[in-house]
Amino acid sequence: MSKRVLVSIVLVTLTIILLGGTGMVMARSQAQQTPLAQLVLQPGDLPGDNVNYYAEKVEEDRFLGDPAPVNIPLEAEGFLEAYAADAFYPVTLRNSESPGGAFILNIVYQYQDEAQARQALEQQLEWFNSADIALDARIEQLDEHLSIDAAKIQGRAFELTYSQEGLIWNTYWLFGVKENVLVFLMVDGPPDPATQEVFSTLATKVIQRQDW
Amino acid sequence: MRKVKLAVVFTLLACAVLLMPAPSLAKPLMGWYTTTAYLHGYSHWDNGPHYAAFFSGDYGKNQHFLGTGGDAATAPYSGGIAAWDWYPPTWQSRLLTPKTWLIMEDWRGASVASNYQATVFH
Repeated sequence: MSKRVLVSIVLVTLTIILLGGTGMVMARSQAQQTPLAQLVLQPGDLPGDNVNYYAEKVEEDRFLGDPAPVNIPLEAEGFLEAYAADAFYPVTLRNSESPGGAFILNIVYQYQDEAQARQALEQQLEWFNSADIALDARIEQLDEHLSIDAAKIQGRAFELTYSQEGLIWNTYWLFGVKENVLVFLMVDGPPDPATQEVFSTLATKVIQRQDW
Repeated sequence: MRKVKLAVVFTLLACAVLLMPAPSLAKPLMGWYTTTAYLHGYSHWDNGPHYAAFFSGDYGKNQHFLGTGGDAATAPYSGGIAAWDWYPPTWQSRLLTPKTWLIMEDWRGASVASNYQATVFH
């Protein structure tokens, strides 16, 4: 075998390895940003440096404990996969003028078809009539359903007031279905107008993200 | 000719080594190790949403707050970080963080995952 042939083999081998490595890296980066992953809130949707933003594909053991709107859809028929984004949204409370904030949880669940996504939504909404809600909780439907209708998303928005650690808290929830994707947004914080403003701001962004 | 063959073998070995994933020094294959949380966020529902610092490991213990003020800053909240509960009771991989602590002391980095350190079993 001549020297020239061997050098050619080395060059071809190196090229194959480099192309393979590049392909693996590209495949990994694409897996981290699937179309479904892009439907949850992104760091740019939140204020500040977002050091507490975290998004991931939802694994089986992510949402443990009693049935709740976050884990009920994982058991629904036709469930394929889900992505979740957690964050803390700092605000200045209006009522006390002290620093505060709201907890953000945004999840998108994908199903085999739209009917299954709607069925999962119904199962979420049935939870409000179950005994899993604390006796001191109060639920109100919000006006966000107007923007939901405008985006042609079937869904509802609720305000839930509950007590924990000796204090009253408000949590705002948005539920919606567009095609085969079920969308959930929770904003949880002190009973302050600032908390509801965070919800209104993020609900708009969540709805816009579903317009793919 | 022999030099060329050696060069071929060396090149292939070098490429194989470069493509292998680098081993983690911080996380043992099995055993106790001290690390920081990878996520702080929603944990579970129990008469309202609860929040926690999530660790890659089980049976958490020796937890500390690394943010502004350290462990002492947590003292007024549910007995301080040393007394905070782990969840779920079986695996204890999540350090539950009081909601009042998070809201009132966010400026200390209370909602930042990397500010929570603990020893866990992996």
